[in-house]
Formats: sequence, C-alpha cells, structure tokens
Amino acid sequence: MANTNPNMPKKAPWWNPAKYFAVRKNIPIEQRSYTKIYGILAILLFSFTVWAVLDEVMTRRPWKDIQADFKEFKSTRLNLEIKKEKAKIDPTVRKELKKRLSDLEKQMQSESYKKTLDDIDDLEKKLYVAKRDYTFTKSTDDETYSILDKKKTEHADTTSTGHELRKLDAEMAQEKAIVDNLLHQDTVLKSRILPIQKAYKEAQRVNDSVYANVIALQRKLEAVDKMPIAVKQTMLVNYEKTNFNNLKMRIDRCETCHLSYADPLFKNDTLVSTDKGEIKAWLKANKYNDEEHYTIKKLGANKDTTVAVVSALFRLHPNVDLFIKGHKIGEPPGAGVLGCTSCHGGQGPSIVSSEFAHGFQEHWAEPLLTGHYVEASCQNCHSGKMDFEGAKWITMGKKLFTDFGCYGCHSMPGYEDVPGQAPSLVSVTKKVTPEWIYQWIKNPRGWGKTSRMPNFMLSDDEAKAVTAFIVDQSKNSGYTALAHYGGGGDAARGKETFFDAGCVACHAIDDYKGDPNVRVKEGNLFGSNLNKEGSKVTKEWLFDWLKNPKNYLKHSRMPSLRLTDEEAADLTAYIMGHTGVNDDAKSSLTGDITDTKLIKQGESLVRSYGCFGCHEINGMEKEAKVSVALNTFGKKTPGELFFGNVDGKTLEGFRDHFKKIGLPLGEIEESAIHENEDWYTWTVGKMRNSRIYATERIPQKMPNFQMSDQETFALTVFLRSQTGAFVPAGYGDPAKEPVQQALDRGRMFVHWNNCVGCHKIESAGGYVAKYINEKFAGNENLAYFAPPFLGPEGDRVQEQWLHQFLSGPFKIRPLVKLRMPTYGFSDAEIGTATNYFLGMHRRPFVMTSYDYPVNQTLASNGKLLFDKLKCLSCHTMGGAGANPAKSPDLENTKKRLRPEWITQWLAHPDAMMPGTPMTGFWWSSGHLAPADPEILGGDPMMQIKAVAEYVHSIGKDVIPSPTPYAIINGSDKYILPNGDYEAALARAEMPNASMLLPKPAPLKKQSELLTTKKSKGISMR
Amino acid sequence: MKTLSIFGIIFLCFLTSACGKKQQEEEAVYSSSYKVIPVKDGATIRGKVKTDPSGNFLSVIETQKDQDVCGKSHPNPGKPNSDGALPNCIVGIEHITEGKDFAKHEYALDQRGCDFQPHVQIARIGSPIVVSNSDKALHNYHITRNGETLINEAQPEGAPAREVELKQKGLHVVTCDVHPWMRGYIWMADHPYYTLTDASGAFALSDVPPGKYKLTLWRDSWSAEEVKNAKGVIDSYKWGKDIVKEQEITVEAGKDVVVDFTLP
Repeated sequence: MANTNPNMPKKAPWWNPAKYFAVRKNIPIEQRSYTKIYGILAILLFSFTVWAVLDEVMTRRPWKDIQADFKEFKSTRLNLEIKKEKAKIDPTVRKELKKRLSDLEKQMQSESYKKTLDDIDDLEKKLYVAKRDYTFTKSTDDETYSILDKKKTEHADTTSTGHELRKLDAEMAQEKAIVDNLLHQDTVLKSRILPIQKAYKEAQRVNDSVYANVIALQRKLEAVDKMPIAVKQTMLVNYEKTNFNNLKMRIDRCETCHLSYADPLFKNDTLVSTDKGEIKAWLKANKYNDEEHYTIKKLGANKDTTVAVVSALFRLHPNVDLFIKGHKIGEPPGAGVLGCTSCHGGQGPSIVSSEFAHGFQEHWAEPLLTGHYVEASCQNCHSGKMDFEGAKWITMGKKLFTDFGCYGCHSMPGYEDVPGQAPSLVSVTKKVTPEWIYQWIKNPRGWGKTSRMPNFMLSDDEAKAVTAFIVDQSKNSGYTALAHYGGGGDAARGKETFFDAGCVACHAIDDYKGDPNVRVKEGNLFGSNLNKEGSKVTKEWLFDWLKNPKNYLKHSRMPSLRLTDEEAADLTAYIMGHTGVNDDAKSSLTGDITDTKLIKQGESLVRSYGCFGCHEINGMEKEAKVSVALNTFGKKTPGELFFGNVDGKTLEGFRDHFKKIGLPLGEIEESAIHENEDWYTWTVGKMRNSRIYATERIPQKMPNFQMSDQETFALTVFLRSQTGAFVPAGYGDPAKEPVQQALDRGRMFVHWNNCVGCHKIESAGGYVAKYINEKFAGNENLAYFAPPFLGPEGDRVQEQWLHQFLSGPFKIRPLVKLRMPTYGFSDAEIGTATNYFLGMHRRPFVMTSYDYPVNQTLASNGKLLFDKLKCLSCHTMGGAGANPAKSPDLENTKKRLRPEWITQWLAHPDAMMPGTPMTGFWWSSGHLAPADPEILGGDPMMQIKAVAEYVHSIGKDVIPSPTPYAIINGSDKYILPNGDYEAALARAEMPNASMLLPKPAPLKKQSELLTTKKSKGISMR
Repeated sequence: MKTLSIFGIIFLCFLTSACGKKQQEEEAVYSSSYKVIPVKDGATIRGKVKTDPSGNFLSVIETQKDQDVCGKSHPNPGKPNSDGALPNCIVGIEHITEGKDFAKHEYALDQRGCDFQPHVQIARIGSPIVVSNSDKALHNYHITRNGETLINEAQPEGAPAREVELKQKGLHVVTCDVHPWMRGYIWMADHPYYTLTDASGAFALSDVPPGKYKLTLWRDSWSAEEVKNAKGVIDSYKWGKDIVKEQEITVEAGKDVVVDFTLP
C-alpha cells in the first residue's frame, strides 16, 4: 500500500547514503531490506581485519626486514673472513692436504674397495645367521644337558636324552667351526680397508686443525642461517621505580635491530681519509655495498676530508671491553647488568618504529641521548669520578664546572665541602694595587686570555664601588712578609729554575702557553698565567710568596718548592720581567675610594652578585649561595625554561653553529612548544651569553664566563647529566662503600691540588711530560726524566713511608729534575691522599710492619745474582754504584717498598709500570725464564725472591726525615702559621709500629712468591 | 618510448650490479696501505752521502767494564771514511703507497763483543727479529722509540736466541744498560724503499715507480762526546742528536736520479 507512491524510485541509490536513507524511510519497516547494509559492513569488517593483520605483521615490525638484511650482510662478511682465513694457510700445505684427502677418497671410491665393502657386508650377514644358529643350538644343548641331569638324579632312563645330547654337541662343534671360519674371513677382508679408513680419519683430523679457524667461521655461518627472526631483549630486574615507588623491571629490545653491537666481526666502523679512492677501496673490501650500510660525510675547512661512517645497525660498539663487557651488557638478568637504555636513553621495549624506539615522542621523558650527550649518563652511577675513561666531554664538563667555581653560586651534590675556587681577598691589597683590582673586575679576560674569573659587566661606578669595598675589607689584614727580598737575582737562571723546580707544571709563561679554548685547571693552566705578573704584584710580596706561600694564604694550593734564597731571587727577577697592561682598559680608577657611602654600595653589590661564593671575603664567611640548585637541571622541559625575547632563529643559529663545528647538539622530538625552544638551545645560549634571556622586567645576574665552543659544549654535557636519576641497588659505584668514598674524595683531591699536572694517576694526568719530553728530546729513554706514574703507588709503597713522604718529600729518582713540592698538607689531607692511593688497590689504611728476619741462604744467592745482573749499572747503594745515578738508591728500598711489590716488579717490570726503563731480567717473550742457569737450580721465582731478600737485607732501617716546609732566614724548621708542619713532623716520628706486631714467618713456598701476602696490622686511628 | 627507456635503465642497473658483484668476489684481501704492484719503467735513485772528514770525530769508543769480553775499545761506527764518505746512513722514500715487493730476508740482532751487530739495520714491520747474545756476559736489549721503552729484557750469557716483533714504523734505538756505550739502530719499514749506505757511502734504491717523492736521510749520533769523571777517566758517552735531512725529488719513467747528500 505504501508502495503505491508514484514518486518513489523503485530502488534506493545505495551509493548515496543520504538519499538512500531518505528513500528508505518511506518503506514500511516490514519491507525494508538489510542485505546491503550488512553486506557493506561485512566488507568493511573484513578489510579492517586484513589491514590490522597486515599492519601488525608488516608495518609495525620493521625489525623483521632489518634482521633479514643483517643476516644477509653477516653472511657476506663471514664469507669474506673465510676467504681471508683460507688465504692465510700456506698454499703448499693446502695443496698437500687436499691431495692426501683426494688420494684416499679415490682409493675409497675404487672398485676393489667397494667390492671388499660389499663382501664384508655379505660376510657379516652370513656371520649373523651362523652365530644365531650356533646360539640356538647351544641353548638347546644346555637344555638337553639339564634334562639329562634331572633324569640322572631321578634315576630315570637317560639313553635317548644322552643320544640327543651327543648329536647336539657334534652339531654345535660344526657350527662353531663355521663361525670361526667366517670371523677369520672377516678379519682378512677388514685388514684390506681398515688402514685406508684410518689414514683418511687422520688426514681429516690434520685438515680440521689446519682449517680450524675456517671451520669455526663456517659454523658461525651456519648459525647465521639458522638464526630465527625474533625479538631479542635484555631484562633489567628491579631496575626502575614506578610512580608508586615500587621497583620494576626494565626491558630493552634495542638489540632486536642493533644486532652487531657486540660482534667483533663488525669492528671496522669508520674511515677518515682525504683520498676518495681509499674510502672506496675500504668500503668495497669490507663489503659495505649498500647505501644503507654507511653514510659519507665531508669534514675539514675545505671539505677535503671524507669520513665513511658505518650505520649503527652494522657496527661494533666502540671500546667493547669497557662499555659492553665492563657494564655487563647482554648478560643474563642479575645485579649490575645494564641495558642499552641505561646509557643511551630511549624507549627500550618499543620496536614499532625508529622514532618510538629512540623515544623521540612527545610523552617519553628520556629520549635517546645522541652524539656525545650519551656521556652524560656516566655521571648517574660514577658521580665520584673526575676522569671518565673514553668520555672526553663529560670529563671536561665536570672539571670546568669545578674550575669555573659554578658551585659557588649553584648548589650541587658532591660539592658541599669543596672550598671556593678563587683566592682569598682578605689581604689582597698587600699583593696588588686598587687600580689593578678595578681593571681586573672590569675585564678579567683583558688581563689574561686564560683567566677564569667571569665578567660581571659592571659599570664604571659599580666597579669603583666594588673596588672600594674590597680594599676596605682588607685593611685589617695581619700579613707581613717573613722572607725579605734583598734585590738581585738572575732572570736567565730564573728561567731555568722555573722549568727545573717545576713551576712549569702549574703556570703558563713565555713558551709554555695554555689553550684559552679549554680553561680546565690542569697542567699549566692550573695556576695563574704569569705573562704580566710583573705589572700585577710587588717584588717583595712575590719573593715571600715563592719562599713561603702559606704565609700569605693559609689554605693556598701553591706549594713550597723548598727554594733557596738565591733560587727565589732568580725566579723573582725572571717573573717580574714579565709586564703588561689590561688589553681592554677603557677607563681607570679615579677619585676617592674611602668614601663610606661608596664602600656600602660596593658591599651591597658584592652581596648581590655573591662574590663570596668563590672568594674568601672579610665579614662574608657565612653567606648562602645566591642562585638556584642545578641537581635536576638536566631534566627540565622547555616549558620550565625562560627564553626571554630570544627568537627561534637565534636558537636555530646555535644548533647550526654547533653542527658545523662537529659537536652537534642533542636531537629532540619535532613537536616542541615553540620552534627551536628546547633544553639544548637554551643551555647553549646561556653558556655563551649568561644574560641573553634577560628582559626589561626580568634582569639576570649571572656573570659572563665568555666560554669557547668547546667549553660550552662540555658544560652542556655535564649539565645534561644532572637528572637526579634513580640508581638501583647493585648498580653503579657502590657509593656507600668506604673504598669508593676514599676514591671519590681522592679524585677531587688530586685534581684540586694538580697532582695530575705532573703524575699520571688513573687514566689521565702527567701533563708536564710534554715539556720534559721536549727538553730531553733525542734521549733514548725519556721515562727517566718524568715524574712517576702513581697508579701502582698504593700497591708499591709501605703505608708509613707514604705518610712521611707526603709530610715532607725527598728525592727518589735521580734524573727527575722537577721537585716534588712540599704542600704542607694537613693531617686530614694526607689521610685523603693515602686512602686514595691504597683504595685503588682495595687496601685499608693500616700501619703495617714489613720487617722480617733475613733468610741468609736466599740473601747470599741474591747477592750473587745482584752482582751478576749488574744492578748497580743503573742503581746506587749508598755512595756506590752507577755514576751518574739513573735509578733509585736501593738503600731506601727496605723501608719504602712492599716485599710483595718487589717480587712482582722484578718478575715483570713493564706490566707494573708501562714504559719503565727497568729491565725485565726474568721476563722473556711473555713468560718467566731464569736469569742464570745455575743459581738456585735455575728456578726463576726463587731467583727473584733471592734478589728481593738481598735488597731487603742491605736496606737502611730508617725513612729519610721529612724535608722542611721552607727554609726562612736560615732556620730549617720553619713552622707553618697554622702549626700544621709541626703536627706533620710529630706524626712522621711515630714509634715504629713493627714493635707492636708479631713478625711474619719468612716465605717458604715458591707459589707464594707471586701472590699477594696478607699482612696483619693495627689500625692507625 | 618512455617505458622503453625505463626498462633500459633497469636492465643496465641489473647488468652493472651483476658485474660489480663478480668483481668484489675476485678482489684480493686488503690489509696494509702499501700495495705490491709489478713495477714497469722503474727508475733507480742513487747517490752518495758525505761529510767533512776533518770534523771532530772520535776514532774509538772506549769500553769501561768487562774488558775481557768487550775488548778495550771499538771503532766509532759514526766516523766517516778518510774521504768523508759515510757508511751506515739510512736513505728512503717517505709515504710511498705502491711499488715492488720486499726481498725475503731474515732479520737478526746479535750482541757480540759488547756491540750490537749489525749496528744499523732496516727491517720489515711484522717480521720477527732474532736477538741473540754471543758474549760471555750479561746484556739487555732495551728497545726504545721516540724515548719510550717498548721492550727491555735481559739476555744472560748462554741464553737461547729470542724473537722480537716491533709493530711501529720508524727508528728504534737499542741500548744495553749494563754497557752504556752499546748502541744499535733498527728502522722498521712498511715498504721496501729504504736502504743503507755501503762502505763507500753510496746507496741505490731500485725499481722506483715514476712520481714525486720526499727522500729522507737519517744519520746516527755522529758527534759522540766523551764524558769524563773527576779523575779524568771516561765514564760514559754523550750522543749527539740524530741528523735527518729531507729532499723532494721527481722520478720519471726509466730515468735514474742521482741525489748526493753533504752533511755539515
């Protein structure tokens, strides 16, 4: 009925849903058809299902293709290696082996050999049947025998059974003969083929051992073929915290794509060359054929250097031993096992795309740390280190943070007890003039290119006020010179002394320039640059300062070099000869600076800028830090940083600039709030110009450090590390352990006092060697002239000796001209140094006796060897021996070196002190060998022990007494103003602890010789 | 037309990639930067090294101990002949990337009569050097390079010969700490274009491929000085600095080049 409407089309147009439903509305419900709707929905559902499956299996699993590519590439590389290994085998050997095998194979293929095999086969079938028959007959025979036996005992009739048994016996004998005959035939036949088989087996064995490497590689190749395409992951148990503070597991799946990270097969990862042909040949030789294997970059000012960098998917991680094995990466779950994201950041579990996996996602808090920023992660666990091996930028950044005195204004964990970086100002007017102070404050880098004092950008009036205040606060200083300059001195001699006494290790002057681009307090940038010193200080002050630094500054880091009056006068003449002016002096100090109002203004400026953060200032000893803490600065988001009026273009400029100089800033996700506003650009901007984000309403106080690009970059790496990251138990340096604390304090100590200026200690240091090597160039053995490597010090010397030496050092190595200075360390400081050296070898600070009764037999054999090996060609003993002496006096050995060390040292000197001039008398091509075939039966270990025993027996029983801090007016017991020196002397003269100890028994077993002996001891405190 | 050309390009790509693959598989193993090639049209660089014979040269180096083994003195190996010709100088080409193959040679260093024999030698990097002690005395071979100790091992009398491997290029000085007058030199080379001047001070480098090169001359401690102690007895020797001279030369195919050096 309803269908009667004539206007209604017969069919609703299904391709136009609006019309379709409009028309459909008029159709009575009972007559409406749902076929098409269901049909369309079914098609949609089906296609979505197909799409979902495809997306899941193909699109969202890019790693499958990567793994397939990797498998292919690895096979290519293995084939290349196999080829190389094969090429290493001598062709004649290869030929001979091949011939031998093929000859034998030929024999084994021959008709006669095959026929013999067939014959044996037939024979063995026959033998089987014969043996079976024989066994059956024997069983029946046994059965019959037992029946017969039974019948006999039962007294029954045995005739038929007996007959049967005899018959069976005869049958058995017959069958046995057949078996024996067949066996004999078998032996004969086998004897024809067995030697061939044996020879073939042997030839194969020889072949396998010659081709062992090739076979191993072929096995790897098979393993690659069999490697399933699957997700690979590392589980880090109890590694991170949930928002509810519960520990949870972290899963890293990075190795699903980065399969090559620990595979030594992929070690050739970069090639730098100016020769394009070389790059091409290298790529070809290593089978980097596809463009996805590598990228080519151009470097250098003229872009003439080409670098081929292999993709991170086909390359070995740099320094595998340290970074991968050293951090237990890829090991089964357990304490201390790290994953990739522990250092690199990124979203570990994600494998759906490169962006997701690397954490370049708006809501992922720890995106991948790209480029050198990965070094920031070292600081999470190793917060006590100063030198990070293999991580140059975090090392430089951390040292700069310390040396620029950043912690003076910004609080930072680990720096709570570190004193201010800059010199005290309480007596400053005794040293410099108000005019100099004014110029210095106005423009520190105008005075010296390597000055670390920042520029506060003060106006002339402000600078005058600050000068007035500083002059005023020092007027009550109690400083008077103790050593008086009597004039004279030879500047040319002074120049020699400057080098020989060791001033050169800390101060830059003349030829010993420092690098103004990296102002780390290290090497000759440690102390101030002396190129204009003559225009800065007075002669009288300088002389007293050289003789006796602690008189002017109680806590100065400048040590006494025990200069004689003549040497100090020479140095004064030399240094005062270096004069100059502030290069950027635009105004000078005029007018009265004693006005109280001016002084008050200066005081309020000093308070506001926080000068006391770095300098000691009279009356400002207890001020708080003036700026914000930086301990979580590294995880600030752009929204938390104030960009002022700086536009995106300027920020982009920073990014471009650093990219151009080869130190690209970290990568970020693309959707930052405003263009180019991110953590990296903000921090770089701030480092380059500390007040760049100031606006009219929001002034900024931070002074400008005028940092170079390198300094800026290094500091951003360090600041990036300040994330306050949670370090779970069992990971990182166990900070609470006393040894670790001792190491952390010691590392700061040796940096703070520039011990590393002269000595290499852990992985770095010994910067003065550069100058010494120049001076003594051409000498075949430069190791004689440089201060020693102190890595083994805690293992090498006796505790008491080290303690006394640090109280007042004396000469040990005759050819080292540089003097070990007298620092006048306090008791606590000596403790820090001693604990540090001992801590490196996990030894506690315990006063230990190393006295033991001399074994006369050993010592007399030792003397024979001592003479025979001509030890006195280099060493001296008392007055006797080498002239000029090259090596330490052996008389002091008894109280200086640990017996355990001496035996290890004699056995293999180069392993203990790489590059030492000491000869390895018992070391020959990687193992111990006798130095004499007869003495002590030619046993090298006993010979070593004998020499050690002899050296011990001839030693003096006293440690040389500490040298005085300084010789003033002929008094050789100069007392330090704070009395520390007397205390040090008292400590050094402590009664010999050995009297309190049971004497250890002399060594008996040879095996004990080269193992560390445990000494009993008493605690010093 | 367009489709045709695309097909053509694809076809070409196939061809080139196939060829490329074949070439790679045939390629030899790549190890050192120096490549041995057959040298056609090679030239010889020859010349003489001279100095002023009237200079202040010690004629002998006196020994100070173990004279029963070492003898009283040794001739100074650094002293020029009467006509000024200098034997034992090293002449070589720096940075040559391809050329002739090394001649097969076994390298040895003997401690004989308290002297290193030979006094100067050129050895190939990676080849072992057999060190032996023929003396009835203890010696140690203390090998340094640029002032840095590389190997320092003692070899008592009668000890078996040992093999030493040096892996860096350039000059290595061998000394004995027991007998301070003993000095030997080993020049480690990564290519065969190094030679020693003979007894008449002459040298020749054969089969040099045409090209521009820098010729280097090295001459050892030519001005040894005696160091006397308070009693006026010789205590030790102070060795002068090594002399290194460089000269740019151009080698044309088949044309021999004559380069003479005169040292101050």
